[in-house]
Amino acid sequence: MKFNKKLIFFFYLVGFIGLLPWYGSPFDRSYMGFPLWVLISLSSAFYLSLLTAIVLYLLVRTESDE
Amino acid sequence: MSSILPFSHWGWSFILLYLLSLILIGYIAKKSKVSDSLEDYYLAGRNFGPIVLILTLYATQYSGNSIFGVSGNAYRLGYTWLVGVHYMLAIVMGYLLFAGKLHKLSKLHQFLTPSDYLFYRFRSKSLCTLASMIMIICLSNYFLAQLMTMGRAFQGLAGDYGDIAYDYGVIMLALIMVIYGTLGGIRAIAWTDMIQGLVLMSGLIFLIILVRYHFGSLEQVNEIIYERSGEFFLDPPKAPMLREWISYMIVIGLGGALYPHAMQRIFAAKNIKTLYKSLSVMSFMPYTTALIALIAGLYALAYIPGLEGSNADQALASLLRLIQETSIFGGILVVIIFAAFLAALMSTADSAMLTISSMFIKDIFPQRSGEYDQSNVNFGKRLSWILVSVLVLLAILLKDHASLIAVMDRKFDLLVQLVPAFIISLHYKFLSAKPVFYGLLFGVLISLVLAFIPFSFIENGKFYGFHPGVVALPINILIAIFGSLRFKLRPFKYT
Repeated sequence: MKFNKKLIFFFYLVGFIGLLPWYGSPFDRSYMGFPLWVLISLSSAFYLSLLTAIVLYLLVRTESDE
Repeated sequence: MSSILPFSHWGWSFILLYLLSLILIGYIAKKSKVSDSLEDYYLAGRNFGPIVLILTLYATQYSGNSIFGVSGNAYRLGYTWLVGVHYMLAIVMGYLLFAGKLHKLSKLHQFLTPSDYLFYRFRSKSLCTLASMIMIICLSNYFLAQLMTMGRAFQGLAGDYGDIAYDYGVIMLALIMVIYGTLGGIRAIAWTDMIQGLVLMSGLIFLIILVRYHFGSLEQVNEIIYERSGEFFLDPPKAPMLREWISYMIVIGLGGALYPHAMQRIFAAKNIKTLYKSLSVMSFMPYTTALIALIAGLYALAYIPGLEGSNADQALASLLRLIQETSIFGGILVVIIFAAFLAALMSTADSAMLTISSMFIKDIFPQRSGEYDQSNVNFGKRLSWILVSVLVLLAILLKDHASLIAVMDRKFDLLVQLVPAFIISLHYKFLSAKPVFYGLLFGVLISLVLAFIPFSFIENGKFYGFHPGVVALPINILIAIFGSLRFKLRPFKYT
């Protein structure tokens, strides 16, 4: 199994951009428990966790292929 | 001590039983040793399965700082400290850059300490010694921070008797830790880590249920904070803090992955599949630990206002005290949660202790013959006792100084300078010893100068929001890469 490292890098980059609450964020306070900007940042973090788990799963598969 | 700390006799009996069980595990681990070798004592024969590896990585990575420090900073800064979740996630991504390759090489060449890899890769004693010294200093700093947090945990619970409780807490927990750690080596530490990891995880889940039950929803917390302080604690970070976020993710993501005791766990994994499976589980752990600590810090901010400076690090312990005073049911759960925090502190400190002693034996005072036996293991045990004694004394002397996060920041500034030596060298064969050595030396010097000399352009220990270590790292990397290209030495061949 071969990895497309550029594609994986792109997926990570998207996640990192989502993590950061950019200066001048248009999101106001939201009383859904977490403020909205926190929810967005946390969702991006969860996406990165999932992506990491998938990459590691693929690496485990690669090891068994060898 | 029950007159000092507000637990019932039953509560103290539970904590005592839990702590004594750690010593019992140390004894059982001692009886389970396979040989008298350093490899068995420090790496358990390189045979950690997935469950042990997940829980030992979890218990080691999530220290007292990650719980008390995150809740303390959430108390100081509000939701802005969400970065506490992100940098713990960044550590797992940091592992992706090197853990697999390093594990394979460690199996092949029987590495015991991280510097064994450096010697295999660069054949340079000066580089190995410098890297070992940096790692030992960082780990000692880390160990000290854990001991101080142990004291703070007791201090926060004890109210007016905080000072005495701090001293008792540090001495008692350090003593128990050094006993089980020296009895059974890494086997004892990994087994106790399993219990500590489970106690920590369940304790934190209890904590979030308990604060929700006692204090109401997060929405109510937000309202209270907003009414008292306006939007400061709720709004997204502005540009300067945003730069700090990026800096924290780099410095802790890379520095945390390069913890020497974490690298020893990479060496101790049974095989590469076990390692990858464990890391994939680790990528979800920030939500069960750092996020809960952040939320607890926000509850403390809403319901226990007025903790300032380093007292904010006691936010969580003060919250526990408040919960405990409200009901008997709360009292029982607080005892469990308190045991969980002790678990987080001890599991991190014991790993640091063992790794420091292994590095002294193998890297600082190596045997000329290269042969190691039971006498070296015994020397390592004596070193652990000396180290713990010195650091306990320091923890007591320094109790009124330095907020926890300030201690934590300096350690990562230095550890992150090891990136070229460990991570880049695994991927780029042209990297050679001298440029890496000078890059590391300059990186460390620049970090220390920026951190400790009060320049006018340094604000809160950071340059334009970036940690000194993050500022020094590109210079370090440039020296290592351009130096290696300039001298064009023969590329390294992995065997």
